[in-house]
Amino acid sequence: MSKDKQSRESRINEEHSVKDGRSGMPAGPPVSAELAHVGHDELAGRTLFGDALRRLGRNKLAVAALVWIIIVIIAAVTADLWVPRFFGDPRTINSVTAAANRLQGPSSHHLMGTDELGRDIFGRVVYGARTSLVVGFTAVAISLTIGLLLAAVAGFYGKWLDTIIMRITDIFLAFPYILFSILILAIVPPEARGIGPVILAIGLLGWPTFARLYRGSVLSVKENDYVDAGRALGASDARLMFRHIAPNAIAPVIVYATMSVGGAILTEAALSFLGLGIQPPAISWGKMIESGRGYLIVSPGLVFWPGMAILSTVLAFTLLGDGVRDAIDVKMKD
Amino acid sequence: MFQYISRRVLQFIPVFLGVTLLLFLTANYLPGADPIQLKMGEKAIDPATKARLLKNLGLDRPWYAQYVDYLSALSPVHVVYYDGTTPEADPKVPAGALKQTGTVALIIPRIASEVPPKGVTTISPREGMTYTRGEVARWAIGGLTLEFDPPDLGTSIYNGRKVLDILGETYPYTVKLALSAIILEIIFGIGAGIVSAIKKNSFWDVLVTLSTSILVALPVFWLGIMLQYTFAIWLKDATGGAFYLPATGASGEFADWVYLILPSITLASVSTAYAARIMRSQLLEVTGQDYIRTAYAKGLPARKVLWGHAMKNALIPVVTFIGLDFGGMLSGAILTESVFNWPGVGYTIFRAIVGRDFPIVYGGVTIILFAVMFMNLLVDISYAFLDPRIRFGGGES
Amino acid sequence: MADHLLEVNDLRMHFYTRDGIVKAVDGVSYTLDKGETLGVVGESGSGKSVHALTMMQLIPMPPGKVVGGDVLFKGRSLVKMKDEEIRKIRGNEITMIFQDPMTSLNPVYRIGRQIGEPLVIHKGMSRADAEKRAIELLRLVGIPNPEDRVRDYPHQFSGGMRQRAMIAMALACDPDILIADEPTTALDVTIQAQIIELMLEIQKRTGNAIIMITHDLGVVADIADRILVMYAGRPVEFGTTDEVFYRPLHPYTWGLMDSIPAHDMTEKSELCPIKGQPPSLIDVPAGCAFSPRCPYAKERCFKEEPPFRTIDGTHAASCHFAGDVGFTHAEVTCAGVSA
Repeated sequence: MSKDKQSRESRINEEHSVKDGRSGMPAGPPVSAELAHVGHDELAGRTLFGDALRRLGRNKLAVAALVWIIIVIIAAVTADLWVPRFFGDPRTINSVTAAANRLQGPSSHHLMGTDELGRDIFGRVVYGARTSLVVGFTAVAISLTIGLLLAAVAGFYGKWLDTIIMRITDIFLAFPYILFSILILAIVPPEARGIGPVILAIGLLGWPTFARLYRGSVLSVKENDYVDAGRALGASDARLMFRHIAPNAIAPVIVYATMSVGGAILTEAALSFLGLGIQPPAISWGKMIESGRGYLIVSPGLVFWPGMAILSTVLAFTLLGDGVRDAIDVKMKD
Repeated sequence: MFQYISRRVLQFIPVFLGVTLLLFLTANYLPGADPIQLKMGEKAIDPATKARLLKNLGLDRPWYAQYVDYLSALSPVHVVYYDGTTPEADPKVPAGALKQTGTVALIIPRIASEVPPKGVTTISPREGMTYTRGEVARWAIGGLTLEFDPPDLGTSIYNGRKVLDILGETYPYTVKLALSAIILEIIFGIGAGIVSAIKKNSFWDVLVTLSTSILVALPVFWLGIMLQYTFAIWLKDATGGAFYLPATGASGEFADWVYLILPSITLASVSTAYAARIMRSQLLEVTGQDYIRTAYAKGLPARKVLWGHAMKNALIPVVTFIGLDFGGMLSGAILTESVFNWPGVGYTIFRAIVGRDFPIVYGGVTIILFAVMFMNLLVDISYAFLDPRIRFGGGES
Repeated sequence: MADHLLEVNDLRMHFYTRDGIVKAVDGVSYTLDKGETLGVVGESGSGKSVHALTMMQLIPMPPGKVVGGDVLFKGRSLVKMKDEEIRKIRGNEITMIFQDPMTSLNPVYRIGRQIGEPLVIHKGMSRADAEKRAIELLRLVGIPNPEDRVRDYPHQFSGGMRQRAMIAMALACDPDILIADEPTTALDVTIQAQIIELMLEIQKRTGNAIIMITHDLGVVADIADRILVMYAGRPVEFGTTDEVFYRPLHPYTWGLMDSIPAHDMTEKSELCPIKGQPPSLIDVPAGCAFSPRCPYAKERCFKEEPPFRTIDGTHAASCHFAGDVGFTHAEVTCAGVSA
């Protein structure tokens, strides 16, 4: 859902910027254009990448987001080493202690309490991060690959192939993302549902925005004078594409990919909540919320903690994406 | 303007065909999908019955023919040509059903499911196929007849009712919910965007920017459940039952609109955040334009520059976004309605997913999708009325 | 002194940015009389536009701040005026037209409404009356069929017509001063001449003063009574057009003259552009701002900022050596001058 909106938002900005071509200008009071050249000399002699990295480092919010993402990744990867030892294995039901341990409040042994089957909620949240991260990264990797490949093919062969690919992209974009994935996963028989189909559904449906973004970006970079300069100097098409155009056009795609990881995590949670995604005993934040709903009155923590996990992780990817955008967007440099 | 509108409508046609094709292919050709099972439920079917069903439903035909059948079933208008010959007696047609003398249909008639509803006659471009005759209206010139009847979305596996009827009963609830969410979005989204643009970098601006980031990252269903907990459970406890909001359902305990409060806040959350962001960025961009400087140079007071010259320009994309978003809200309603047991299309789809009633899922998705596409077209067209650069054509590209 | 229409006295306006203080306008002084035309000439970044926006209070403060000097209009200080007071002057007694007519008109309002707006604000006219007056104004600036065109939107006008509409808007309230900020830069060459001619013609009829801001010395040569040359936010030379053209005092002005392509240029005569770049306004060179590019610069120029002083009656310049005997515009070859 948020992905639909993001693409709608970008569509509006896109349309708008096509009309007046000034969207990239930092909006502000009517200061004369005469000031534009002030202070530019200091940028000379630095690499674009190093410059971007330095800018990212200065953005406290983005750094905090990155730190949080790294913490979540490390916790998810190393979960087997420490979670069962300290909190009991949250993936299995201990039939001996289940009844005694169920629906406990937070304690030193169960930081977030226990669920209706006596399993440690904190441990389940940590294991849920595995699912979310795997879905987030692989689904975006799939979308990214398909999107970039199609955009490259469209851009390279141009003409009618470009038209066809972009028409197909339009059709996919007209189909609300969440609706399509619900439909596809509803067709899959319940016993076959799980992480695989979810990744495929999200990954296979996410490519159109990447394709469109990358194509638009390539086209606008192509217009730049330095590409003409390269052509005038006799650079081959392939060299122009890979040395001059591709690296400069990839910036918006990187930003969108970063944010998309968060979007994919949200979608996975929503699908699992609807019963179309991850199936028990596999652990997913969305599924935890769904099954915790029944115990809302006695134990709201069952719903609260996995939701906070989703919120903080998705927010971190969004803020990181914002930070990366501000850092690499040449237009925004003052 | 006429040129613009007709171009948009023409552009809409391939998108519509593409989307319906996608919808059709997904349901019939997705690996692992069995169209008969999806349409008829999960009974074990013996091969002979299956073959007969395949044939009767036209599912043994090539994909493009099936796609045309599918489009025909969705179309509310059919062109039929009756040539005046008498069809042979057909035992499948119940006694008393209207019989039509005719055999040829120009547009392939829709395929009804196994049990023929009343008012059905068999005309035979294809053996064993039944055709639901126009139930709403017919308009004939000689043998050529235009027949109007509601689209056929199939029947529910669970209770055999028409999917269209089931969805028709629930649709008003979804529209009501979406409309109240849109109202919230307009008031709070546009309001917050304006405040944060006018007071750029102030406390309010930071607050709006931060809360929109959080709202966008929130899982909607979780927000809904948390609102339920806070306002229906916790508040009831805290006030000793004196004050609280209903979490679900409509038992008549409160006025009707009270039941809308929590679901519409939930549904509006993400959209409001995006509307606020767009409003802010548009207003900031517009106030940097040369014509705003011109307006100041004329001696207009800041108030008039903002609410006249700046707002009129900045609102165009925002209105467009909100229009497009109405469609988005319909699909977002699946999650919200599931949380609040709100008896709309979304909740119906959710229950159908759980109950494996695929025709309802499919029909519901189709209907929402059509509403979304129709909304998008409408927004594109209304753009022409909002923006004089399109309304009066010309201008530089 | 108070009988000048406009008197700019050592005006200084700086921007306070993250990267440092931008001295956009730094000590500009001149006078303007009724019905006179002043040409303000300079490269981009010279502060020529910003100084005009400053006196109209159209620079957002912050980041901008007037740090010194004053602008007296009919004896009243423009820079010290409250918002309410300056509003009554903007668009009424002093009006502006801008460089890009494509973006200076609001795309969603009809031309007539935009032209009539100053009349509604300042003269208390009704919308309908203002629109009627807009038709006359459009006719005055040479738009054919003004009765029809008044209901058009800006995008239906060509660039030249839009600039005419801007002029009509600026003339609506019979201003005392019309400030034209590079009014022809964005237009085709043939249209440029028409627009300039139109402004002069109207000036003859109404007797308003014009401040013509341009980077093109050629534009003001024919029309201005006086010329102010600016560099790096500072005034370089001020005098009558004859004085500046025939007896220029400042090496920067000499450089500008050398870089104008002459009509009778032969293959032998080369263009001599001024070498180097205009300085960053954050980090203005010590001493004379032009010293790093000045072929005549002496040691003193790099240390001591030259005052803007009257050399000869109405003719002022900011160069230590201006007016010195023997300090004249040498026949510069493009290889530069060995001083």
